[in-house]
Amino acid sequence: MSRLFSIFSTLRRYPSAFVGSILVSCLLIVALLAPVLAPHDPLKLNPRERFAPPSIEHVMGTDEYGRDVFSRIIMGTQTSLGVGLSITVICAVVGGLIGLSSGYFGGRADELIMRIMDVLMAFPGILFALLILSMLGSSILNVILAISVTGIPKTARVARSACLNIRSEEFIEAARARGEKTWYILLMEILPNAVQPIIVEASIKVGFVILTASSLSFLGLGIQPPTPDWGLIVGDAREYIFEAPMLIVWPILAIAFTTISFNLLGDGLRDILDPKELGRV
Amino acid sequence: MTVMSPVYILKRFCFMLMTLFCISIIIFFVTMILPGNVAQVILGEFATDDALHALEEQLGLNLPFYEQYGRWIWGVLHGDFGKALSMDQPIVPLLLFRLKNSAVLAFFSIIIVTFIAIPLGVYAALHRNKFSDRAIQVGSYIGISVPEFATASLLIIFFAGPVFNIFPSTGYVSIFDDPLRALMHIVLPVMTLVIVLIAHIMRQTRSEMIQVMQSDYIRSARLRGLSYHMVVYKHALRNALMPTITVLALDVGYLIGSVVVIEEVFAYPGIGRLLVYAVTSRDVPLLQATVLTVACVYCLVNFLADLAYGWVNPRIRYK
Repeated sequence: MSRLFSIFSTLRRYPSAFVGSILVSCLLIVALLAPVLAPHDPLKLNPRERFAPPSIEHVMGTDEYGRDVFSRIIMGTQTSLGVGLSITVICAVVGGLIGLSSGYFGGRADELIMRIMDVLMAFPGILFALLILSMLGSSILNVILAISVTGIPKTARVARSACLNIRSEEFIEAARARGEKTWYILLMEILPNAVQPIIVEASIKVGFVILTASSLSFLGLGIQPPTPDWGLIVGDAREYIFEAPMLIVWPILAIAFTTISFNLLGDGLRDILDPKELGRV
Repeated sequence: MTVMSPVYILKRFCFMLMTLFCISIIIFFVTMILPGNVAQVILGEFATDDALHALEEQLGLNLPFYEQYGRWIWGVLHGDFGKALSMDQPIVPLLLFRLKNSAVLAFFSIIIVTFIAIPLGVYAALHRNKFSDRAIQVGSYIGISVPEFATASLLIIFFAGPVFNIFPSTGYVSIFDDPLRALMHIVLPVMTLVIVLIAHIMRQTRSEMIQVMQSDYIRSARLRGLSYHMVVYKHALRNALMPTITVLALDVGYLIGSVVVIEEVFAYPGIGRLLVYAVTSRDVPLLQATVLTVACVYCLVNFLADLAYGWVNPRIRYK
């Protein structure tokens, strides 16, 4: 309880982290409770009620197939957060492991791994994602895979530079002298001391990842219909842009709200933890 | 200012070539190894095995990987990307036409952004925490949180909708045929790109400027009795712009993503739209060509930015 209170009082001193964490919590709650909160089935077609204006029955009206827009937006929270968070976690875990071990072992292997990361970073992320998607086909899993691959090099760099800072500390030497296994040193000694910058980098990444994923869906190359996804809803509604402009405005508001929330939280976390490693990468 | 060491330029240039070489291998590897065989794409799902084998032989798809790559890169180095499968026409003229169109878009955007974003960023930094700074901050925060397709769609609703039908929402007219109509067509795409980029560059300029203004040499310049304007414009601005140049260059990677989306929204025949077309029609040679071209542009811009950075900041020149 006192720990919870101390977190709360820290948050209050950092307004952007405070607001961000509240907004992100709201989003998470909406995403988890989406099936309960959505008043209608987001996939149910109703040809007799196409483009219905907002009413008590349909708060945001209906779309070109008569589906309830409000329910689709609510369910879209699940898609967006699911995709965004899983990509971020994959990047943090895989990139973190690559970076930590590369920094810990050093030498030729480190040199090689970091050169590969450099080349991947010299490749504009969206290009690589498109390349992967074009070959594997478009689906939720492939979107997650494609964007993760483009995000890993940055995380690996952050993790590596955090690792280099503590590699020569005495407690690492001590662990080695005790005869601890390498994986033990990496996961139990180095990771806890290098995790802060990795977390900050990840939290800053979420908003960007959600934007990228929604752009791919918008282009029709990401998540496929009929899954309710904000980018996809905008992409589909483009045909009716002048007849039903609000069909485009609602998902845009949802995307903007989500990215602003995550960006606030990320920036706030960076201010609180202030890892200098990020500045150097 | 001393001339930059040719060794440094050469080193950077070789690094760029190496990177491009690796990228070309990655592109070829990904397009060849992942499922989605070229012969299958050409002949369709129901092709017989015999037909597939014949076509594979004809296209050289049965050769070992390194030989296929060798043939491809040899062609590329001689300015030959082969034929686009889906359009049955040579890729190079198409690529050049599209690249030119995208360059027009990028050129206007970058010019406009430079003249808006940097002064705004400097202004915000010098009026830190005042109302105008806060307003600029909030605006740019919203700017980086809204995807390009959203900005583009909203602009279309406002400026090409039934209410204010000022600009055409889609299409393209060559600037040589009808300059006025050509300009009308690129107004909305450029506006979208500018909005996206302003937010980025303004934030960067502001934070660099604040950092520089707090540094010791600015304080000592002020203490020596130099005027405020002199210090701001001759000392601070120059040092604050150095990192901004790098960010501008890194932003080119981001810019490419934006261009892809924006060209698609406005049906503008640039290289980004060609890329999306190559992906959706699964046209592997066209895909390889567009991805490699865009990667080349990106690496070249980074190279030039590095040179510019080294030119304004002599300390990193000999690293």
